[in-house]
Amino acid sequence: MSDSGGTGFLALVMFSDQGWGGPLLRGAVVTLEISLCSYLFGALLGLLGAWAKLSGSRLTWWVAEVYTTIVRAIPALLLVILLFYTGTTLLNEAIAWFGWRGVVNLSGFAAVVFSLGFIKGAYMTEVFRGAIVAVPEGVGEAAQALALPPILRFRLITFPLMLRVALPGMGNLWQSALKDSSLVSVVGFTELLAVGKIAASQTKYYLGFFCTTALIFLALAIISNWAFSLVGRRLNRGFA
Amino acid sequence: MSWDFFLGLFPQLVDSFWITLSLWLLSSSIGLLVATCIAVMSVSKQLPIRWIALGFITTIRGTPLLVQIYILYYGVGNLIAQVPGIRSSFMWPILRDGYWYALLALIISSAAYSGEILRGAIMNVPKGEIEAAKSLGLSTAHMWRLIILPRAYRIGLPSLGGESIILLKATVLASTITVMDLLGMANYIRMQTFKIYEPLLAVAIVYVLLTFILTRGVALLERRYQY
Repeated sequence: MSDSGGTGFLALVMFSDQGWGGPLLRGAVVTLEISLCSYLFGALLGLLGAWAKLSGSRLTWWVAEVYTTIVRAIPALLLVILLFYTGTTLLNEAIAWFGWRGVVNLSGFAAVVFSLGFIKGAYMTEVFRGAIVAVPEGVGEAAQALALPPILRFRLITFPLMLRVALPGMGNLWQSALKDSSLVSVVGFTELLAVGKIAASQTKYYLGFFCTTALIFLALAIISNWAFSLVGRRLNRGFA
Repeated sequence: MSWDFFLGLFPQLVDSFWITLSLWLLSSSIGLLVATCIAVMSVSKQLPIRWIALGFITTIRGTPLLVQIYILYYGVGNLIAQVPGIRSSFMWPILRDGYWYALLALIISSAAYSGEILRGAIMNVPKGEIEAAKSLGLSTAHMWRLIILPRAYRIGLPSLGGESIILLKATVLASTITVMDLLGMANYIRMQTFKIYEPLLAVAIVYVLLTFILTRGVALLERRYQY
């Protein structure tokens, strides 16, 4: 049946006409795209959530607390399926709730980014909340004494200082964003793992293609680990 | 959404609840055993042994669990299916069942993540305690069993508890290889009734409750074994 030697498989993972190298590489690019977009969307939600938890208002605290507790208690795959199918409806209801009119139709890409990012946002909230709390109080007071408007205060003082503390947590979340992106292959979105699955079932080299897929994921993880450590060294300059 | 239909879903989830629970219990307990070996190997003075342990941890933690499950179920499973005569052997019902592949993948994953936690914990065991053990003339095996490991488990307990909760949520991936765990059942009901929200919401509620109980349990353990 499938496996008689390595040469047959090698030709199939290369970049020839019938080789799967090209599609796998394009799949890896899609994986990077959805990981990055959902990560950024999650970071945005995380900042919003951290603000909601620390603003001092009971209402926003409750909303953020319910969001982080529920999302972090439910398995990511279940949420991806739920949000992927209901994302459009949810978004339209949110839009109607704000009194805007119009119907938004999410593309597959947007639905995937929305569902992955919505999950990441809950974890980001906790990372950012912890990091903001860790910024020394005196620094904020000094900024206040300089009469910096709140937005400038956040952008110039709190955010850069917070980032240093948040970075290890953000690095972990990026690693999990990369890995979680593979979940959307279950709802039929074509990223790296989905391409690997198609290649495996068409060529019958199951072990070979899934191991290749795993290796590409591993390479992405190792490269981004290294990138994060570079950023960390830069943010930590001046601190012992 | 009809409430009768929604509430009627829960009795249908009982069997799959036990599958989810058994996946979690087996993988976290066996995983912890393997993790202990991995962690001990990862601080070994013998370089090849240390490299094997660290390579295992990096590889497993750097690749998605879903890919690992596919490698085992489709990749290895396909190789096993080609062994002559295997289909008529008494092992075939086990070798064909996605449950065992999912369990193995979860054990491996748990071993890597908990192994990394324990590795850090072992390195944080106070030097003085190890010196004290040595000065009492304990053998290496005794020192590990009586001093280093008990201490490391305690140091790692909060992280190990968190890891265990993550593992519970990871068990849903078994549903992608035909296992009828909670999510598998929800998907099955979804296909049968063409209702998307209700089955998924019902299962989500079960997970929220399970996670809540587990978080409490971990907090209790932490208070019990806190220094």
